[in-house]
Amino acid sequence: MHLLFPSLSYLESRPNSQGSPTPPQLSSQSSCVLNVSGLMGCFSSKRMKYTPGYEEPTILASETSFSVSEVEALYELFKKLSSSIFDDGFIHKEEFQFALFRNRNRKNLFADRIFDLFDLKRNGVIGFGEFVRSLSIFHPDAPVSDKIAFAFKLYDLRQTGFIERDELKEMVVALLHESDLILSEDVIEVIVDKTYTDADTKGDGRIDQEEWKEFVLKNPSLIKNMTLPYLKDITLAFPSFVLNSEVPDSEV
Amino acid sequence: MAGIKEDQWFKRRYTPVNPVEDKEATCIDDESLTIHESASSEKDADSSTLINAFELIGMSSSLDLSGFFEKEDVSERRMRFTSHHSPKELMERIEDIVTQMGFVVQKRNGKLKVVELHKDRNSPVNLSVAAEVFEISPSLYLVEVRKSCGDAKLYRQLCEKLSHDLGVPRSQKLLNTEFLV
Repeated sequence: MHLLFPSLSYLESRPNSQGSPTPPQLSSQSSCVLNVSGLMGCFSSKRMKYTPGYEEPTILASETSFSVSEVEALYELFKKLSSSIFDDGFIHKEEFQFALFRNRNRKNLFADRIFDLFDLKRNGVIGFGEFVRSLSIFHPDAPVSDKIAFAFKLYDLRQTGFIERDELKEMVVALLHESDLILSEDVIEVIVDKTYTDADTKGDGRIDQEEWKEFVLKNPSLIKNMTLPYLKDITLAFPSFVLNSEVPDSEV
Repeated sequence: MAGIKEDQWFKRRYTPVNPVEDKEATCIDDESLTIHESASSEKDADSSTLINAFELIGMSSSLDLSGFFEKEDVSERRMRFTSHHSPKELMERIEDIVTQMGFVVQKRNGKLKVVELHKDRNSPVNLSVAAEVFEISPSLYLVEVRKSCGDAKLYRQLCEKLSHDLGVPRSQKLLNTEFLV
């Protein structure tokens, strides 16, 4: 039940609704909130409970591939993920790991990279705005060039602006380790060599963004994991049970 | 909870949504929604079919954010194992096995899609599974079987039958339970 009764600290991060024609959801009307874990409560008050770092759905929708109602649905998902271990309105690394692996302690090279890329503010946690902006790239309708660029940053482990051969090998080894797949050193070398030769068309020993883009356009399945079909139906998966804010106070 | 639901005030604007029903009706087929490989990207006869390192890396479960959206653990939705049988042989055997189980098979781009038609006319698709084979080395292949939607139990039965018939050794079952610490 503690999720439904706002603490005073949340009031400070309440978005300023001055001048905005449409009042935000959950604002000064009686609302009935059903969160995704099935808890339910009604509170009639002028306060609303947003997580710290909340950003207006209308703003996020205008800057991403999502509609306003999709952003609202994502907020439901965000609340669920960000409260799984530390209920502070941010997704911590452990909560991220828990969401993906159902295991908060499972460390992984790739999960670390994705987490870092989602953490746009570089403050060690993922806030709602960062969550939506990053997930936007995974939307089926997001521009392919965005997906290609994101994948490049993902694989550029040491952020040098190039994917070096040893980075590629490191990632292959990590994948094999994660899958409990044992391959001989020779086999790994052959795979890495062949891929590197195919991708490094300039032959300068490293893969730059241009080479990467060309490579992906020749092999589109390489960015298959950059699209989440679920995002197209997010409003069905995470329905927001908040009653329409058009209900005026006087009627209640 | 029941008492609140009965209340007039609650009923006023509330439209109950049944997420379970909706999920079954909209089977998210990731094959159709991801970038479609055009026919012109067919590999020419000379180039090797060896798996691309980035493709291999891309299989990492940590790069698969579907965990945010799926209730089931990834091991319930995806199975991988290695085999020394050739891709042609593997695909043929998979096709035989699934057809015997009553599934319909569609083939496209070297991938095999398995669909079971639901008995009920109104909801035609009950289980949708894709199978793909990758070459790791000239004598070693990686098979991936993925459920895009449908009944978990049916999927498990299918996987068990495949594992059994394709002789997947016990130790390889680790690939399926990689998340159990």
